[in-house]
Amino acid sequence: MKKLIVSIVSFSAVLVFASGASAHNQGCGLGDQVFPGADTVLTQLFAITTNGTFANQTFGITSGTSGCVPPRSFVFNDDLTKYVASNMDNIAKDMAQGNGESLDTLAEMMDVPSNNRLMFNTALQSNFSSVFSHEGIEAGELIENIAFVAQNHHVI
Amino acid sequence: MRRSSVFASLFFFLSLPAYHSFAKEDQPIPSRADSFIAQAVEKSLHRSRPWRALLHYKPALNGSESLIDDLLFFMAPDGKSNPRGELEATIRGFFTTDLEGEDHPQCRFPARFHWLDRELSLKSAVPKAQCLKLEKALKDIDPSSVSMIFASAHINSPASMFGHPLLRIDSQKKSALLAQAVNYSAQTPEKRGVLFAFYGIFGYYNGLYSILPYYEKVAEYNDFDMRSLWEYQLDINAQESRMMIRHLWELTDKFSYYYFFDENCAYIVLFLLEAVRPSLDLTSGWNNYVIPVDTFRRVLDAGIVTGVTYRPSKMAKMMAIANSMSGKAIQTSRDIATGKSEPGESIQALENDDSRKRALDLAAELLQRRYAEKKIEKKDYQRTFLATLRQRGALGGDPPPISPITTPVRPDQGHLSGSFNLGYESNDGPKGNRVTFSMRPALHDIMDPQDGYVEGSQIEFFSLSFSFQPLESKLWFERADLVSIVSLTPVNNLFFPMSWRVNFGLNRREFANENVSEAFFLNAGGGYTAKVGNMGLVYGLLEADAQANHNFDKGYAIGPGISLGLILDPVPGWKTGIKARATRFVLGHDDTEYEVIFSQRYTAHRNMGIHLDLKGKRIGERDIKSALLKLVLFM
Repeated sequence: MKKLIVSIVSFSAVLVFASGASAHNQGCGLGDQVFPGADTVLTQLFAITTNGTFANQTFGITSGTSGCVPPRSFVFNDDLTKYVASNMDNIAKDMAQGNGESLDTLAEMMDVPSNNRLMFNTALQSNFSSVFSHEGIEAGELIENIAFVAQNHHVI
Repeated sequence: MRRSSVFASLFFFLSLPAYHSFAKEDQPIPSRADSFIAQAVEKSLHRSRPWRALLHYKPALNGSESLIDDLLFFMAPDGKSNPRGELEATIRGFFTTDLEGEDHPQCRFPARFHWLDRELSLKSAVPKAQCLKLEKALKDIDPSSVSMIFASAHINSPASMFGHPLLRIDSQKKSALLAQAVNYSAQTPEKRGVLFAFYGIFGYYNGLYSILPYYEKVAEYNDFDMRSLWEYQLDINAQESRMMIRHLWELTDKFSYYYFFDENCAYIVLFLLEAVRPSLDLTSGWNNYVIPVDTFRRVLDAGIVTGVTYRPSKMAKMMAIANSMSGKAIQTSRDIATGKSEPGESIQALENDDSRKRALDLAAELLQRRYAEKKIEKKDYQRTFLATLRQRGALGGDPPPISPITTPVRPDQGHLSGSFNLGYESNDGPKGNRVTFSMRPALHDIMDPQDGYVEGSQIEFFSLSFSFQPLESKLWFERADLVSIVSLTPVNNLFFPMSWRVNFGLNRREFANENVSEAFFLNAGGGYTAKVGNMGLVYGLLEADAQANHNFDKGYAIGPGISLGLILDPVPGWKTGIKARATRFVLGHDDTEYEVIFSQRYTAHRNMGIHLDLKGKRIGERDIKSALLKLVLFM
């Protein structure tokens, strides 16, 4: 009963907590990691900490590559395709800058030996335009392009 | 008790059919199962901590009750409140030959099976079930340890200062991005609004665990929400981490009613830690509410934190680039991001390659931001983003030097969540001199020490004040703030956020006719804040004020107001606030009220301070001056 009273009293107050709610619409290319529009002041007032999550994502690990075409030439790896599809924008940024966590993670997933990492980064940076060959590029094709450059430079 | 609520009982009846479908499981190999059950009962396993932790049992009025509300989480019909019956039904279930593969209780409850096997050596006696999916998950994740993640405040949203906790199952892989984030959250068709709040408090939503690659969570919190993440590495070994995956397997799709205040994301995550190391006691001894940062303090107190890493928000990263750029270079980035100029040409005007690199890096960040805020079409985004990065790639070479990102004080190292104040007020108005005391369960007043919290933010709930007049021996209710939020987010050279405030409650106040009486109030305002060098903040807000009390001409007073203020903390431990406010009541009452407050806080220790308020106000023709000196304790 005490809790009920606390709850009733606090009800009015709770219109205020903030939400981590967001809904991905995962695709395979640049700009496909779509998030909902940023909160306005007003919506923040009515947000809450229950952290609504995307439905059907329990044990998301077991789900596949959200329908992205896998690379043809590079050894097919479900996790790699999924990672690249989910992180393509950050990978692009890291690649152009020549370093970054998203790029390091990619190198790890592609089994680039650690003493070749620097070369891997430099090769991709200087070949950025041919790796991200067109605006609508998708994960599978991108991995092929990366693998092509990496193999040409003998880093994998 | 809430859990015997209408919702719960209703759900129980609705679930009965689903339940019967596996009630047959207890038939096969009865004698063998019975001997193991006898052993288990002999060893009092149903009363042991591991069993209670795995089933999320907590003491209840008549024995024990599990906090999991989904009946599919239990093998016995009364498993939710019968630890022994559940243990017997579970052991019996492991012997079943009616079910195969993933449907077999051994696969559905792998953590229980693993533990009971260790206790009773079950494996050699039971029919072997193939749990291929679980084995694949364990192999894919390849867990090595566990971290607890704190998503700290969202800029301009003081409510998010409560934070959000996640668990992260780290793998043998080096990159943290490839770890698995475990999140407990309410499944909510509505995202916000009054119904949302109502459902959240009364446990109408189902809370469910989800597990996602950590990079998804980093993208969501760090990049999109621009919240920094704190990663607390825990001393949980590979064995225990595997146990956590088994336990999460059991919990997949098993709901609990989500209670906003106590059975929330923060509290429930603690159960996972107890389940893998039953000697930990993290879930007992909480009050009616669980504030996320307090769960981190609890875990620290348990001595299982081995290190803490700070992952700065996207905003911090963007500011680090911008702070090392000239105004002209920042404008170049902005022009690229808004499509006013092409990246290739515009950067040529900048002095050297380092400033060109920085301008392009910032432009790429701004573009991602604009796209996240839906200010730019996908086609344009893709085109400009790639054009910017092509230029950046062509510049090659080392990354340009940028301002370092300073690590703020950890959220757990901030002052404690609750506050108790005791003071004395000298007042030349009708209220007179009084001893005052006040308390609030959560969380942060703008004058409280900022360490671990967000600059210029305040969020308080259920703050209550009373006063006592020693001469007349009278106790007065002074003020109740149901909610009081202030968000003074300074504008900077990249972002131009609005500042705002809102509070409502009941306040014992003076009136022009010399009366003192309790008035309901609702006050909200919006404006802008700027930094005063490194000294603090200056702000101005336009406000709207509504109050209700019979001493107003028509029983209420509504009108616009303005407030201007400074919050300065030039010297560590000393914080000064100056605020002037005028409210012109135009509806229900005709008066202009003025108020000026000077506040000084000295923080002696993160959980103790001394506070002085000097206040002058004009109500009608009357001037009232008061001085309050109080001791502030956090607990």
